[in-house]
Amino acid sequence: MTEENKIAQVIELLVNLLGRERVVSDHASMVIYSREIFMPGSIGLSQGKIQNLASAVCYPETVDEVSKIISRARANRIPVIVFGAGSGVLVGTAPSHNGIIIDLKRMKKIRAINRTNHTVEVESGVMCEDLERALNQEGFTLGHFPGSFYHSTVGAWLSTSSAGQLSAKYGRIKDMVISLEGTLADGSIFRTRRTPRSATGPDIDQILLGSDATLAIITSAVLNIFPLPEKKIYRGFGFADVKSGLDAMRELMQKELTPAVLTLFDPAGTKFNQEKLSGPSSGCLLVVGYEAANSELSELRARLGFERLKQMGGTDLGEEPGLKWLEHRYSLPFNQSKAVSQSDTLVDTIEVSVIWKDAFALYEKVVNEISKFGMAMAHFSHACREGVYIYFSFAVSDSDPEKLKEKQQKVWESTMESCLTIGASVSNYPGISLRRAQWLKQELGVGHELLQKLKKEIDPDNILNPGKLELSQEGAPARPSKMEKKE
Amino acid sequence: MNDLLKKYEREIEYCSYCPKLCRFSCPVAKVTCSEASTPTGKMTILKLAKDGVIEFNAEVAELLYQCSGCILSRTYCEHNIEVIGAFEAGRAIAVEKGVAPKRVLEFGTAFQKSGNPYGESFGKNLTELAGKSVCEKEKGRALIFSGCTMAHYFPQTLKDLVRVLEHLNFSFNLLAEDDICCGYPLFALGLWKILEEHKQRLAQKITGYDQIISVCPTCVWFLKTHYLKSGLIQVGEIRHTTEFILERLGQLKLRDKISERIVYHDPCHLGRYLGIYDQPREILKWMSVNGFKEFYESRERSECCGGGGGLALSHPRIAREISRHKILQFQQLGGQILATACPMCERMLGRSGKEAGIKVRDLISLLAERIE
Repeated sequence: MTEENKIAQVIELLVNLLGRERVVSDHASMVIYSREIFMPGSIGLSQGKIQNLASAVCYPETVDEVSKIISRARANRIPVIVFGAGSGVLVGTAPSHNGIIIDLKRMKKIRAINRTNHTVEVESGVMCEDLERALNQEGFTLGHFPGSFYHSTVGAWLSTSSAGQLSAKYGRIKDMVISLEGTLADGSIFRTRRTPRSATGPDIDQILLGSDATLAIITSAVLNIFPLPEKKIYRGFGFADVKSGLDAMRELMQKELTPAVLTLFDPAGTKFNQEKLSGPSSGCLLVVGYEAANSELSELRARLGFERLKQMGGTDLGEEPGLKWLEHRYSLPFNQSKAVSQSDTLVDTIEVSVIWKDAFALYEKVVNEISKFGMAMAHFSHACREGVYIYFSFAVSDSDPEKLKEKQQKVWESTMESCLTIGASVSNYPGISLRRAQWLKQELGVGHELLQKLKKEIDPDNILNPGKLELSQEGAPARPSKMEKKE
Repeated sequence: MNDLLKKYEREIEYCSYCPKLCRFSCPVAKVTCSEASTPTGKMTILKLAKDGVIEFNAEVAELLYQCSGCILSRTYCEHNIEVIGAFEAGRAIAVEKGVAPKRVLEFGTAFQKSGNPYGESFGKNLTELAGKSVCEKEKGRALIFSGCTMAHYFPQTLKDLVRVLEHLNFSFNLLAEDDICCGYPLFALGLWKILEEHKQRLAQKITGYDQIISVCPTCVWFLKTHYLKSGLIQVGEIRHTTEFILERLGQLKLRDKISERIVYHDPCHLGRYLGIYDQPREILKWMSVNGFKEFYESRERSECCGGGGGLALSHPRIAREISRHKILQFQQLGGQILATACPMCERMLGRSGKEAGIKVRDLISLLAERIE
């Protein structure tokens, strides 16, 4: 069968299932769905290149429809890639093998907000902002505010194991899940039991979370929710250096003074954000914010927390840096447009997780390595009792786009190697996908073999997001790009 | 092609490389659920077509028409970008190339015949409605420009406006001509050649007044930006009725005040385009017993009715879905009257509201019903 015939067959199959209106295959739409939105995909776009194009995109509205699509796809050995809003930075939705894309955004029902149990049952296609707005109107919050808040879906958080900016208080998405609904690679529908903290063997939900839709397609979830905070108290503190700032962060987390937000900018990050956040002119800015459903509780915690920070050597900078951080917390990605369109610079971030003991050593090592290729800065956030996340932001420049990508790759390689050497995790947020897959085996060891065996058992034809997490032998080859710039 | 798009180079580049930061706010993308319909998606396609990477064909054109011009995304964009301008230029290219949707091209042909989008003899109808004396005065004072949408769908609102103005003893002329459309639909749909001819004809009829007043914020914005600014007409000022009425509230005497629960909808052209948020609110507060309620998202963040940007003509089903979404929000607020200040909003929300038994009213009509 020729490639064209195979694609036509795929489209016919989908149209038969969903009708003409819920299947698209025009070239313009395929380009949009197949591009990577973050760098260096955007650089490829500026050169008129998109590596792989999908064959078709379909829009199911129910889990039954997803199940039917999967069953037919498996029977015809057609790869399936699940799509939320395409905000991923790790090539998680890159199409492969003439695959079809299942866009879940028509599964956008907020099925129920339960005031007794403090839970919400929500479909995977609901946008983060829409869910939060709906919850706010009912006096609740999900407390999940990832950097992609304005452009990601519930399904994306679940499949990449996302963490929000206020995770110190509200937890990561993994901590919020009560139960999941979805389909397996044979089309069977599963619904896990809606009981919290059960001890019935290995936790199925936790195995599927963060699996990048390689093991199952999650179509809805029951998540816990929180009362809307009555009072938010945000503040900025100045610290002399990264070490003293990290000590202060750890102190709050381990002395039961956990704030909602705790973010430490290193000296380079503090300088970069100085104007925007009204931070100190030297040293490190620590943003700390307390919020609770009860005003008195917020005030008490804030008072004790701020006192402790002062005792730890922090200089109280007032509420302005905290409030400005709140205002600008989604601003950073706006810089991308300018960078791609006006310069030879590539900006990127690498997010890793580390225990307190190794945090400073890892920070120092990675920043030194990145500095060999370009500019580096970092901030520390998502703190917990045991450790902290480090976000490395870097910029590399070169007038040759290929050399630019090489430099970017070298930064990634050296950072990942540093993490593995020190014993940190190569990923905190947002998952693994294709970008980090090559280092996953090293981090998980036997655990990766276990996942590979599981994948082989439940998806023997390797149709669910093939190539991602390196769970199957086949990578992500695709039909040759049709995007060639006209001379 | 690139000449028309040159003006929007920054917008096209920035949006194409943006990680979809305004994605959630686009009413069209909310309805279609397609990545291609997002502001980023459409801008990317326009860029690739401009750069010759993909062909500028009917598929590309189809996407460019999927925008209501609400510019809500500007509210959330740190680069302050309005995407509609580039799309309108892209649509003009699509018309020139003959790849615009068939219904758009047919609209252009029909408009040329009647001078308005509705194929109506507005000159005769409006003269009958308002009285000959109102329509035949000398230039030099105030001209009431009803606009085609109000004249077609809401002649009663026009009568209400005349009643309010007479109550104020305000002396005015009413433009009663077949080509009463400001031309915005032609502009939004990319029918720019037809628009140029239309503008020349209309300009002669509306120039020379001290002020032009319209109930339609789209007309106000378009006459200001495409006639007055370019010097095509000589007019003292062009104002929306809410601006005019607010200054004269003290001269109005009400029989009674509104006691029903009102929710106010900000029209995109009145709010984000003209920056008029307070005037309609002040009027509503003044004429109601308990004030009014806001939508969850209002003012700069207000969500659109689906009627702008030519969307109701090019993609009526998407436009309808957008208006249904707004009606649903109104129902959740428990309102009794959905008040607005734009005939297109009244039309879009009124149609969807009718299905749910909801009253959608223009501020002028609410006022006219209550003056002594």
